[in-house]
Amino acid sequence: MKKLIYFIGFLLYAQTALMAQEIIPEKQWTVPAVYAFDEEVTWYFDFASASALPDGGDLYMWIWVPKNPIPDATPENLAKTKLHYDGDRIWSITFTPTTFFGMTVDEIKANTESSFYFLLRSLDFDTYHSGTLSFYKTDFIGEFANSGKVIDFAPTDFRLNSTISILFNSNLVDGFNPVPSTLHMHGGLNDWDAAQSFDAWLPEIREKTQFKNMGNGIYKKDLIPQTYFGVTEEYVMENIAFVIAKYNGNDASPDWAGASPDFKIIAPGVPIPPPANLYFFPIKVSINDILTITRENNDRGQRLFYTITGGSKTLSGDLEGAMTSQRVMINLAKEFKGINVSKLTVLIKDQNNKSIYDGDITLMKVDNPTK
Amino acid sequence: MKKSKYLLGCTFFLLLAFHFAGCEPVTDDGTYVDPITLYEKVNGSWKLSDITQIDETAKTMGISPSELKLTEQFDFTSFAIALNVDAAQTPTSYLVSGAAPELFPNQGFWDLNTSFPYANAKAPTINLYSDQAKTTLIGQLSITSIPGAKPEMELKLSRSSDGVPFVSYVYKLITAN
Repeated sequence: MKKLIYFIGFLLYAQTALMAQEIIPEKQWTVPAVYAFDEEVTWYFDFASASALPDGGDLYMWIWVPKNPIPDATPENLAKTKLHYDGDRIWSITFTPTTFFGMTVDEIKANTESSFYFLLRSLDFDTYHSGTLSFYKTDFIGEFANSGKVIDFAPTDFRLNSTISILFNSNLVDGFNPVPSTLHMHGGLNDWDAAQSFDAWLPEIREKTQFKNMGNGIYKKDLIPQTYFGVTEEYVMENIAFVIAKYNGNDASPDWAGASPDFKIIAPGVPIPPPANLYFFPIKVSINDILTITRENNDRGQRLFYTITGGSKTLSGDLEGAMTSQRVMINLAKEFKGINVSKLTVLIKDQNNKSIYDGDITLMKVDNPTK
Repeated sequence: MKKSKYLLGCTFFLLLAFHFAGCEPVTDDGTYVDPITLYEKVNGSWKLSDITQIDETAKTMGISPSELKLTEQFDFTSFAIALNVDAAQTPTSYLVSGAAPELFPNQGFWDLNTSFPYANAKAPTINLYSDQAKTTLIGQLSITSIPGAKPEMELKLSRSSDGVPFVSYVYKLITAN
């Protein structure tokens, strides 16, 4: 008899559950995109077309991996799992995983499941609920630290108005170990077309551009390109170009204390541009020849300048051309006439003082009777 | 029979003699004319129609680019050279005019390393000298295309190091007159 009652009860529950309408999020994402398990994160859900879920309707998260944080459904516990309605049919929940689950970082990592598994539901479950949802539980930062990469970013499908997390391994860049103070982003969209400089003397800019120290030499910067670089929503983002600047830590006399090499993140869907190519023509040259310096596949808006020193004379000027190719042709015989020169020191920089080339050209000794 | 063999031999000899006589530089009126020398083809005033710089190292290694047009650069279009000869077609002085870069000395004296084209198509060489006695060589230009029916000539200036060419300039010239 008891078994029969249980069976009838189960059938009633199952029928009720089947009658509940399933809600499916259009999309879901996290801010920041990459987070440590002891770092605060917000999970977002866009239920744009889930008709069973009214605008601003109550949503609760029932999560069981890595573990259920509220085994007892007390009002206080339920409040921990209630999502916030942000408007425009977007709900979110903000928490710090270690606190939320009552687990250490290592315990969360030790859980063998690859994702956080959960569902979203009405308080009674029966009115509406989602199917099983998940977010990757990857230790992205730990994997990055062991990857040998200097920078990385996530998500790969970031957009102008979504969050991107940029990771930087300071251990792999000369002059960054140890880091004297804080690290800051000095960058711009589309090859510096829309820039946010690291103006070290402005406290609010120091705060805005600062990377977060994740420990062990790993730094992270979370940003939304549109708001961070101050562009309109119509702006067509093709790349994020930047260097990572060291702050000297002296607020009384704030300044840069060095910078990393240049980095560039290509926006999703944008073809990867061909690499820049600098070459000298001819490969071997004498002081009596015409030397041509060409750089192909330049960045958008990049302007190049040269300085050539031979003996006591220094030449300087612009490379002419555009993004595809910039070039300068020099009549060495004329420019260095009467000067005993065995090598030329060539320095090429762009308008942002970025060094493109810094090296010597050894001049050939001509053995046939030509000038 | 012996007589007819003798006559046949004489006829053959006479035909042979006439045949070689046809190669003699004799005009219709019977006067002798010297064969045309390279000096007659090369001398005169020439102006530039095109110049290309060749990276011989890149060319050998199969690296691109190995050639670069210079024609529109550095006033090369103003380049002209006069290769002067005297009345006997003996080379005398040469003079480069215009504002093009001076890749070889602009003036001096010249001659050729051969008066006639080589049978093996090897390029004849214009030797450039600083002195009238032609004892001090200051430059050499290969004639990579000899003037023929068309009044065009191609000169190549090469620079070498340890005997290996590393850069050349090919001047394409047309007669200035």
